[in-house]
Amino acid sequence: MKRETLLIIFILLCFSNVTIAQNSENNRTKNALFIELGGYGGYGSINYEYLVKKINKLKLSARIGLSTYNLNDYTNKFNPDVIIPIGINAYYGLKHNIDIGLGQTITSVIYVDNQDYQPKREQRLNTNLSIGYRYVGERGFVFKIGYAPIIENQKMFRHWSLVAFGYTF
Amino acid sequence: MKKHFTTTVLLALLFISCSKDDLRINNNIIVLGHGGMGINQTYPMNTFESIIKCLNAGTNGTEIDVQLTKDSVLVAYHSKNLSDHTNLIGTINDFNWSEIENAFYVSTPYLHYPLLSLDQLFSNIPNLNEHLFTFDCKLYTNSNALNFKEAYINSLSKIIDKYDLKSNVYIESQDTIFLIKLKESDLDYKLFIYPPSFDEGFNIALDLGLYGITISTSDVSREQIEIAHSNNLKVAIWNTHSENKNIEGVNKGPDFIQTDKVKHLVNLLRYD
Repeated sequence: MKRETLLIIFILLCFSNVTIAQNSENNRTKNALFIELGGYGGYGSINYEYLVKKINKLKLSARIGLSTYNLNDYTNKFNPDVIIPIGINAYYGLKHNIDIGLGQTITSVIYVDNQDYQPKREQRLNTNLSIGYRYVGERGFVFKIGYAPIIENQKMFRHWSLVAFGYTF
Repeated sequence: MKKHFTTTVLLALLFISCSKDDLRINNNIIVLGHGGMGINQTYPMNTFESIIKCLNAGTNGTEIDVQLTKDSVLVAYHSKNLSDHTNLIGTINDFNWSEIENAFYVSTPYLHYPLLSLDQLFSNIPNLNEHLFTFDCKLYTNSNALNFKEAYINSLSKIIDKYDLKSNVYIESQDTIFLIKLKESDLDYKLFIYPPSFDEGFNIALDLGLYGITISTSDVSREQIEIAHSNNLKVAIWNTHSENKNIEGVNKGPDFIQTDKVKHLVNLLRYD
């Protein structure tokens, strides 16, 4: 658990650079918004990504997203499942990139409590890994495809994949 | 602009009126969920979450798949193999309940809903007797079939008696011997044969004096359902996994629909 917490802190530190760096005129293509099908968010998620560092063809970015499965719980009350994927990605290439990622997904899901059988929120940390391909078009269009296994609750390995579309700005 | 708007409204009205004409509404059809909210939902079938959501959705009740553990606990689970949907390998009957109660579904990333015993379910449903339940009895075992069936019937009778469910439970099975033994154990059970074809089910139901036939909507016609009704047999249909299948099912005039599109069928029958 300590290792996962450190990783989350590291990724959040990457994001803390965003506010400082965004004042620069050169940062216009450092941001990306994308929709990921599959991937870190489970069935899908919307994500923001920030390019933290660029050294020649190598780029390092941090991402954070949001997803859900149910907005209402099983008693029909508004009580959404919340899934927050965060991660870091390393890209190598210019237009065509090799993409390697590592992250943690925080899940807060409503289950039945096995004591009083009322809805109960349970939080878990899950590890995400990814390796794939990313294409960045001239007008900022971004496409990603990859293999993205999940280690659920830091115990159960699941083969998983991702496809993502978005724009840099 | 106004002309386009008028045309659009007229077309919409025409479409709505066609839909209603095509539907033979029978508000006496009993709406049951299929294992709760049905297949391909984020809540897996037969979980507490899925069943309670279904009961809160305006249905009359739900179908539940029922299996027996090695130590004779009835568990709500659909498939033969636990590995199809959960983190365990084997059949329900390979395990004692203490080994199953910590198991969980793995169908969807991050969602680990637990398996459920019927005792857990019925002891935690508010206003239990206001709901109807169909038990789809799955007789998966690697042990002696006859002893297994006796143990199954014994557990089923105990749970029905414990929660006073006799008047609001229907029991269905593909196994004729099992149905005969159930009928011998209590004449008041409402038993359904779940056959491969309507004709086969019809003959068995008449021979054994059963309450009805459970059959896929694809395998039965409106005329066959009318024949069943004229012989005092009820008909429950399932496999209505889309909105069109719900409408097709309603038009056949069955007594029960076990649907995978719960909200649609409730809206169709209760509010149209």
